[in-house]
Amino acid sequence: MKAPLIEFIDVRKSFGSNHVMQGVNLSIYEDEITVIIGKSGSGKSVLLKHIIGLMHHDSGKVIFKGEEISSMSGKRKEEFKRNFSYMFQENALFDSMNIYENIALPLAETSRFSKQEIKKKVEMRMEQLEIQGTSNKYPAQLSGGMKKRVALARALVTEPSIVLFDEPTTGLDPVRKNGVHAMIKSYQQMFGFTAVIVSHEIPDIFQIAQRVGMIEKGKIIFQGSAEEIMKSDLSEVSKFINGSGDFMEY
Amino acid sequence: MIIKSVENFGFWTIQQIESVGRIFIFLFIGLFHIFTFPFQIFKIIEHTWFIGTKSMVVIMLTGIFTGMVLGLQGYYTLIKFGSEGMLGSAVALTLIRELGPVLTAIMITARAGSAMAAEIGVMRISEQIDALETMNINPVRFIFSPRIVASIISFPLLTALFDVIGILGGYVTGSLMLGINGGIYIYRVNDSVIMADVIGGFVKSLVFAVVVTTICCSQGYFTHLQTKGGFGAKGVSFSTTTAVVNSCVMILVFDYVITYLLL
Repeated sequence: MKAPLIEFIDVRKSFGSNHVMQGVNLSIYEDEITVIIGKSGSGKSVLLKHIIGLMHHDSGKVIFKGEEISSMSGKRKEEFKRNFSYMFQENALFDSMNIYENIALPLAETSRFSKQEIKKKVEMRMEQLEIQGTSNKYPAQLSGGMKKRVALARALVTEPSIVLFDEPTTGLDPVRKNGVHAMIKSYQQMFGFTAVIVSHEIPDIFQIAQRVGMIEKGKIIFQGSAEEIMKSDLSEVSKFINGSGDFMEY
Repeated sequence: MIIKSVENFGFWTIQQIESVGRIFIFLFIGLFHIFTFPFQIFKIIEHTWFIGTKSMVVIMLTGIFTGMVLGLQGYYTLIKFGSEGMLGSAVALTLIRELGPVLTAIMITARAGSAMAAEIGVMRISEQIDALETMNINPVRFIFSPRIVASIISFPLLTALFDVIGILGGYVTGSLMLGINGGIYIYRVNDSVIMADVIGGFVKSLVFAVVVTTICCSQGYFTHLQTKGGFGAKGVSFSTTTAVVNSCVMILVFDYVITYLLL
């Protein structure tokens, strides 16, 4: 059995009296698409932010390739972060920069590529994601779907080995939602990255998931394949998947 | 009751100390990254244009009317003692030593400082600052360092512009409107102002540049940590107001401290 790429061991995180993670145990494997599902406010995004170090846990361990993230030195942490890209729920594009500048930003700021090399890489990603011709536009001038593609282009331009997606289809219509799912799947196959997706899109997201984890009341209550979760006997899991729980809980 | 009050006071004190510590750490990281490679030349030019060039009109307007008011007030005060010929000295020294640096800093706070706080605050609530961190870009270096350099360049230059325009405003009211000999006005300006006055004014403007930029940028940067003014857009609005009010108060506090040290 292969070792997990990222592992959560009894991770706990509280915001005042709100105990968001109460002993999370989760394994994420290399080159797979892992999907995290759960109710709104169950701590999915918090979990994702712990992976990349945007938030720090109160106790427990988050391990990357056998090394605890919180014990990494400054330089090592920089190297570690270079493996990742993060696609935010609301895209987090820079409003005051045009699309080209948005996509080029991580390369312009953190690499030693020449302007020509950066231009070539950015244009290649824009072509792959079919957003050519938007270079001089600003995020506010694009549709929701186009913004998602720009955010994905920015996430992929550094050729990361792990991409974290925080509810990548929020606010999109059903057709575009499936389009984004298909896009993630096809680019994951094309570029071969490990994907961790936080999503509400059930059961559509199971089409692309190789592994699913469900978070409930601060704990991972299920880990397994998409087929396994569909057949799960756990009442919380089946209620959530079938949308038959008490709506006040959501 | 007493224990609760002591607890609340202790909590408030800890919060204030934390907040001051955060701002100082923010300032030191920002200053340190001014000197780290690669230098952010284009961003510095861009922010100098925004803070400096775009503030020129408002500084000239404020300067000319301040000088004109000083000319009027000074004339009617000095004439009582038969010393209206000293108007040039009074206007120039008041502007160069005090009003130039202070009013320039307050006007830049109102125009550029508020914009900095609001822009950075919006970046914070829309996760753009988090996005920088995930891209391995130091957000303080990216957001704050070029702005503080741009302010250090812009504040003294705008102060100099304010002083010159203000002295011209005093000339307009004193000489052109109230009849003081123009040659005497200019002679008094030239005679009374010494290099120490000019240096003192510039020292003030440099300190104000650091104070205003640090307060405005840090208020925007830590928008998410404040809870008094609400969250989201209301939080940004609260941070912007706090940035402007705190900057103006700190300009006056530092003005007193520097004046005390320089005299």
